[in-house]
Amino acid sequence: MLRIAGGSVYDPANGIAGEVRDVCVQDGKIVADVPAHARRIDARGMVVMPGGVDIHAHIAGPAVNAARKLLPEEHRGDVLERTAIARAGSGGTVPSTFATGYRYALLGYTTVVEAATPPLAARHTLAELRDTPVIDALFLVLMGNNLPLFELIRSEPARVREAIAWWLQATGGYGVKLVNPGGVEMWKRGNANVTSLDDDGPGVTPRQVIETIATAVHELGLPHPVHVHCNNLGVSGNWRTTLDTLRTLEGRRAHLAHLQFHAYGGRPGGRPRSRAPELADHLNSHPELSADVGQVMFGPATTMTADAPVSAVLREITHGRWVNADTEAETGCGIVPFTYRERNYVHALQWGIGLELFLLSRDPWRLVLSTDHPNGGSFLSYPRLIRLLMDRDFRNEQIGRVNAKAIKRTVLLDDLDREYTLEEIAIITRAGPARLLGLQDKGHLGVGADADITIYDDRDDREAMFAAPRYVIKDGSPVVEDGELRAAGPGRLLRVGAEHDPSIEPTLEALFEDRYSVRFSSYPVREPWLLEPSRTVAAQPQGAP
Amino acid sequence: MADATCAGCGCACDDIEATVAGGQLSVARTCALGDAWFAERAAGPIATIEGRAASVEEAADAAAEILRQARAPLVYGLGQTSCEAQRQAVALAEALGAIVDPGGGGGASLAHQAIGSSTATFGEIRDRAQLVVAWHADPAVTNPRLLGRLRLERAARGSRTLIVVDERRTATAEEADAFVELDAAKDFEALWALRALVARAPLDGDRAGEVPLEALGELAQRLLGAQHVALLYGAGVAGDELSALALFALVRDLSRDRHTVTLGLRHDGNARGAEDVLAWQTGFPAAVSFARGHPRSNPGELSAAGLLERGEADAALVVAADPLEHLPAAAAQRLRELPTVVVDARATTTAQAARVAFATAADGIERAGTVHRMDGVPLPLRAPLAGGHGRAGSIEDVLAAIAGRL
Repeated sequence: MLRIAGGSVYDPANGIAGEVRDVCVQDGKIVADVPAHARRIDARGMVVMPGGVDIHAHIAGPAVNAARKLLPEEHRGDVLERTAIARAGSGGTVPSTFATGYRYALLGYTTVVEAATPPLAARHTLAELRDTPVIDALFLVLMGNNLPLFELIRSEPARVREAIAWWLQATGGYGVKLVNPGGVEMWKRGNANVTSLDDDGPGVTPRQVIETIATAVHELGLPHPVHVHCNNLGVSGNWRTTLDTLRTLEGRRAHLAHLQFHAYGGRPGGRPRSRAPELADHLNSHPELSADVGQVMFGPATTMTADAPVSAVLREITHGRWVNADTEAETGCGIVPFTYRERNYVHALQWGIGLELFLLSRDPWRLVLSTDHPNGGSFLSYPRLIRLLMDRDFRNEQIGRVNAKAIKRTVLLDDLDREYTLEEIAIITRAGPARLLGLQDKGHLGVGADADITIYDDRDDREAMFAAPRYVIKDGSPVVEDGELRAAGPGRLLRVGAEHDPSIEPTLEALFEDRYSVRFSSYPVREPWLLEPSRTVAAQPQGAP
Repeated sequence: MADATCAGCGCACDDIEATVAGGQLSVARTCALGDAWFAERAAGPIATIEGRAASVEEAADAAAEILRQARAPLVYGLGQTSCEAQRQAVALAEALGAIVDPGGGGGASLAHQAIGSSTATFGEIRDRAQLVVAWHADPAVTNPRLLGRLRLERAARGSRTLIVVDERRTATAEEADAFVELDAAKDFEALWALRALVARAPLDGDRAGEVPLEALGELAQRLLGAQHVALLYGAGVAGDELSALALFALVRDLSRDRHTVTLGLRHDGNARGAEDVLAWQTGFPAAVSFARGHPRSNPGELSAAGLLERGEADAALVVAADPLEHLPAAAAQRLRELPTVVVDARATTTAQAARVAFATAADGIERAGTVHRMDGVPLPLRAPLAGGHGRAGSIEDVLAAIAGRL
């Protein structure tokens, strides 16, 4: 039992914004009151928020691990000692599993989405998550370049819903991710890609894939809508593709990943411009749509994506290390280490577009914080990003340092003097992501919620404040006290519960035979040691239209 | 009858038919390596201390004592057990402040660190690669079902082409459309020359004395003419940093104009898993020292063979491996002189010589788990003999018992 006494509480989901009040905890949950003998944390002068929820990051699985193998110099320069409670590890932009869990906890984050797992590799992701302590984690399965699904989309689109439900049950996944639908398949066929939603190179168009799968996810009533990484990532002029995608999705719930990377004007091959205002407007006026920003932060990053053709382009820019990894019937993968530089026009523009999206957004519940870790920068850069949003003077000083031509292509100097409030920060870093994910027990401090709580010293320097929470409570137990890790138990897997019609299985088995090199019977993960401890969040089927 | 997965080599064939009758296991669809893998399980006492039968508890006490006393223990092997046991082995190495090294394949890891790599799962190579080059790789012997699984047998491959580059006409070469004879010591030179040929860069004619330039020129033409290429490489290339670097660089060059991937052949059934587990737990895929309390990797300095030869290890924990049969002679000799603990489901020369040895239940036969196929695909290891027929304690269990005593 625990009473967090006298802090300024920011619990936007329950309409509480800075009110001084107590938060009580018992048996891992928020309760209305606890007896006088309960442990008391004196939070006077501190800020109390729900634990952070990261809606889009790459923390576990084969792509992340290939990147770890690629980055010995980062790991050599950033080591974690073994302690009485913590395993040893290494950091950098792609930390070891243990380091990932500890560092998210030390940052005040208690729930993280692994945003791109090839379903064939679910066992690998699950095993890594078992070695990622403290945080609860869920993963999205890559379905946008899946050959059996393409076949169903062509021949029996009405059954795609059943197939997706099967895939989620077979993997322990939480939601559905589309990455450059159709384009990655074209890359694997012969270094090609798709360039518009009506390109039928792979035998289905990206538009068909997006429409059919978004509809299926909607009908299944998954707690998180389809999570889309649009076609043409990084290409000048891609904002038209993004807008086309948003219009295609209209009327269904959908979440766009790392919108910043999809908000470029200009001509393909030419210099990008910002089209953030247009996309922000569209998002503002469509309440069924949401996005995370994918903010670029200056300094080292590791680009890591299922969008393998993009990585081949980056390789020609950096001339450095490059990884390509094809997964049969499902996806590709590309990795390129990358450094974003202030003086570089494109990098500064990307940075500026991210800030524009944040500052032009009118609904923080639907435009939430991410750096697409580690693509735009490490999750460790979130505190600096928060300061950029909250502290206009700091932001303007930073704007003055970066490539001026790029900044002129944005509206950042046009009286965009907004400063995020603590309440808005609480929305874009916990309450909003939890709501978009359909995690009803996360992201708020109402009675019955998971007692995942972060307590910060209220400091003027918001970067310092958010970089080192004073206390972090996970499931009611303090895991960080006085800024130090005090406990590091296992986190749990959050998975979705979605029913499927068993008659889809023989259909899928027939489609598997020619496309996979593993047996259909080997595919579903049933091993309890990979799946437990877990919590299942039930889908709420909408029924066929 | 039940499905089983064979971890007799890196192919991890998951279509094995296993039948148990009267406590006896019989398998179908296996190759010769698979038959041996399912058949060869340790008999005799469940644990021994200096050759005497002991209980698991006594042996775990003795093992913990040896490892606790050591100043620089070496944890070696891991390639023939499940990912679950590998996780436990790395945890134990960390608790001991030991050096852990799966052995082998270090060159490919270093090349990956230097320039990256391009890989694909079996299904991609089977369905897409028009030209497959086996470079010092003889899957017909080392991974007998691989050619079949990649649909590369002569009768099955249609218009696709298989070319073998090797020091002699191997069994795989017999299946190939063309064979290029190349001295095993000339991999780097030949691959580097091939890069030049593919780039149409002028080559010093003197090279013809070192490498078969004419044959390589023909190979370059075929590579340039293909739209989808796969290169298979074996332990020789994987073990040599420069050769692996040259191969990966060639692949990178080729990738600009055609889809090009590699597949490293693995002998040990879960060698890939060992590398993967080490990487996710430590950030490094091989040769990791925990001596300073945090992971540190330096394959040149910390690889098992070198450590042993230099006398820098003072005890060894060997997990599912037989280093006395596979290490260079000098390293093996030093290993013999060390107090050694062996945890293995199979009877090995190393186990016989060990101070403490555990003969465990076999992963994939008596104990379920996970294996990473050599292309990285994780697969379930089933346990057709679980439940009464086999031994109780697995490698994972024994490692946990030792860890619990530290």
